[in-house]
Amino acid sequence: MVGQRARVVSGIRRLNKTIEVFRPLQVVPIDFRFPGDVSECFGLQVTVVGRFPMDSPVIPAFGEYSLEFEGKKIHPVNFIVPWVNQEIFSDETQHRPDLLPLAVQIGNSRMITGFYHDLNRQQIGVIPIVDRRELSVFQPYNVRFTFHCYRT
Amino acid sequence: MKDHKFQLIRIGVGGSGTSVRYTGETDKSYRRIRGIFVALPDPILEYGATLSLKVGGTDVFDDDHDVRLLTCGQGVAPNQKFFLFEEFIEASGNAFEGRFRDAGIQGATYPYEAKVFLWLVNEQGS
Repeated sequence: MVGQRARVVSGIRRLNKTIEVFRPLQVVPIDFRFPGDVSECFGLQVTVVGRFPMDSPVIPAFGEYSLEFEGKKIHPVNFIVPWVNQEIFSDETQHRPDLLPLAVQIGNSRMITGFYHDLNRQQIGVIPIVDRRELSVFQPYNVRFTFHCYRT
Repeated sequence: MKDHKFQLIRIGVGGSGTSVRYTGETDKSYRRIRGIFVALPDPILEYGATLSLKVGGTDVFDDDHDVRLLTCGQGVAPNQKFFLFEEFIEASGNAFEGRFRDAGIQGATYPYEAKVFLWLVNEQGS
């Protein structure tokens, strides 16, 4: 279960960073700084925020991302982001994405850099519609990164 | 002394895109907030809805925290529904506050009530 660990710790910050995707195959740069009271990032959850007219309950590789910590010195994660249809997906785990474990000590440089890459999967499993022109319409969406960090 | 309590916070959402502030106090008979679970009446409301939470002046979830990370499907057993806090968050009558933000999804029905459940316990390590 997300958030469950053997020990009890004194303080945790859960930091959210949301980016916007406007075009298919767009590469969105990620560039921000952790606040000063964060000592370690121990986990990451990434979710696609958007509703698309798809038949499929899940698109496993909707986008991909890469993140670097400490001014590009540490490169712990290259991963994919699924899109999950909240309305028809019944698997118990999919409403709450699991934590991707990281163990990155945050030093002097608090910079997080990287990118998110849209993989143009909005047309996969689209519900058939009469007007074919609608198939080419890309719906902008957000991607939300939630960093789970220990406080200093 | 009782060991567990599931405290309910009701948040009324009047319209599309509404942001609703909520406040309250945890039950003073319980020492720790062990977990949280958010229930919305329709799964489509989960797209982009966010919930912030501050307990005793300390941020637990900041403004953009996705409700989807705090909820789960209907097939999940009640004792597995909760997002568990690994840090110690003191209950003991502590004040909490936060904000629920509806994402304004097309096709959603208004008004509705978002239910936030806090799992309160007495044993520190449970």
